[in-house]
Amino acid sequence: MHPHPHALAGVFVELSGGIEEESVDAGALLTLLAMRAGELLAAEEDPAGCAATALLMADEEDRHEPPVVAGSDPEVQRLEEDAAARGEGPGHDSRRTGAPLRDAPLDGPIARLRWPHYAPRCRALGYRRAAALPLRARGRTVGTLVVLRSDGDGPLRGDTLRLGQAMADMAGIALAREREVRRGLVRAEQLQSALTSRIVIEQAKGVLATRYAVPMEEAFERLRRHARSNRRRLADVADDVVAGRLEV
Amino acid sequence: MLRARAALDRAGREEVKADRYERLAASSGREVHLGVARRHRRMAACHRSSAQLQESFARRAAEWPGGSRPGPRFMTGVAEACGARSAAMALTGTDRTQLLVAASDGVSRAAQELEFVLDEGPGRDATVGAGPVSASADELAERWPRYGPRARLLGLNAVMAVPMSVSGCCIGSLAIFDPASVPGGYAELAQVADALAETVTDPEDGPELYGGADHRDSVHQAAGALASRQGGGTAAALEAIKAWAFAEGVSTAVVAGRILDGATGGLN
Repeated sequence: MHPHPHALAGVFVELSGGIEEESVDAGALLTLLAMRAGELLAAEEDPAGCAATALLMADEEDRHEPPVVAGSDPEVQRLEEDAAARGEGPGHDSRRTGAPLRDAPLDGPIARLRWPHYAPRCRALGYRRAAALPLRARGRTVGTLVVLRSDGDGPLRGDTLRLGQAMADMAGIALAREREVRRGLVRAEQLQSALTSRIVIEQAKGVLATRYAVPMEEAFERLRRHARSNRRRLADVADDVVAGRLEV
Repeated sequence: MLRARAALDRAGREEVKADRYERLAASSGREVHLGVARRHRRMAACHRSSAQLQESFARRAAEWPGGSRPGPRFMTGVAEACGARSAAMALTGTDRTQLLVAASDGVSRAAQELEFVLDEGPGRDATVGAGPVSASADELAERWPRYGPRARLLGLNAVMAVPMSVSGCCIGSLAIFDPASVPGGYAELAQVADALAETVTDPEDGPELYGGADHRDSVHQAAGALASRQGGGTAAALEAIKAWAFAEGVSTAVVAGRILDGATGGLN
């Protein structure tokens, strides 16, 4: 049973983050991808029961951030969160290689060997096969869409895979936009913060130069020395001086 | 020219992406792809404008004879790109106060100083209203009762201003003075403002505009000095400096110089 074309078109608009200019929320978008992929791919693969999870890895520049994981149901989400933390599972493998993993039987030797924690837990939830499709943004693989099936004798059909990949690609475009917007915001905030800090530092120099009747260079040196010996940011020390909370 | 080259490369990459999504839109009939293509086209236009500004500055720098003549200003190229007599940029904080300014000439710098002192004018309105602003001739005084007449005294007849934004976050404004009739109007000005916003937030370029930016360091030092002498905080001291400058018809930098030299005029 194939999904109605209108339903498909609606899903694609949703996954693109809408056609308007505003930014999208990465977590909300991944949840949408996981939910819709679960529904649509189940309809494609009649009568297979499908679940899906979408996984977005942190950028290289914010490696300390945990990956964002969303699932079409809470158990599958927990399963995939654990897999992401352990660095195993079809999602992890596909993300690393950037290639789709068309089909992996979860009781097969490869699954048992490569995913010693993931595969048994997946089977315990009633799933028998897994596939993973890369989520690409700006030419890089940034995450994956994992599809789990409770039955089905063979790999996902070609058109099912293509549909899943198209959904992942559409979400990838929206994620690329989201990252671009976020980077822009970070840069704007950094610029405003640097300019504001400079003003406070100049004001603090004026305060100290007057208080101790010293040249500006010496006032700055006092600020810098205090910041260094107390391991504080220069702007924070300056702020305290200007507010009258600190004598240096 | 390296920066111009890099901006042109970025523009080229955005155009390739736009082409790809336009082809996709043609084959799929999906509005979504057209929307993505439009975004890439806009980014490409922004990078192209940015490259033009960098090229224009590089050309002026190469032609500069050196010596005692004033060096080229980045903002002169901005004014030229906008087809205006002069142009001024103000980067602002979240409270819309000016943090840094840059201008193409003395007149636009003086107009910017008026906004700083009076707390009213086109740049401020563009950032507060998050949209374009324009006024000419008598409208200047009608719209800004204190700024307008003084701007006319500077010899300015018309002004257009647009906000400068990055990712929807307003970081300041770009104002142009006495523009020739610009065929692109606001759209063209907004494109230059986008390019300028891209330049100043780029970690490699930064906001200094090759030495053309003014942080008003001495004014803020003077505010600190005055606050230290009088108490009452730096915000009140800054307001006092502005009031003194306005009363005497001089710039806040001149007042700051006096304060830092030990003179406090009527402020003590």
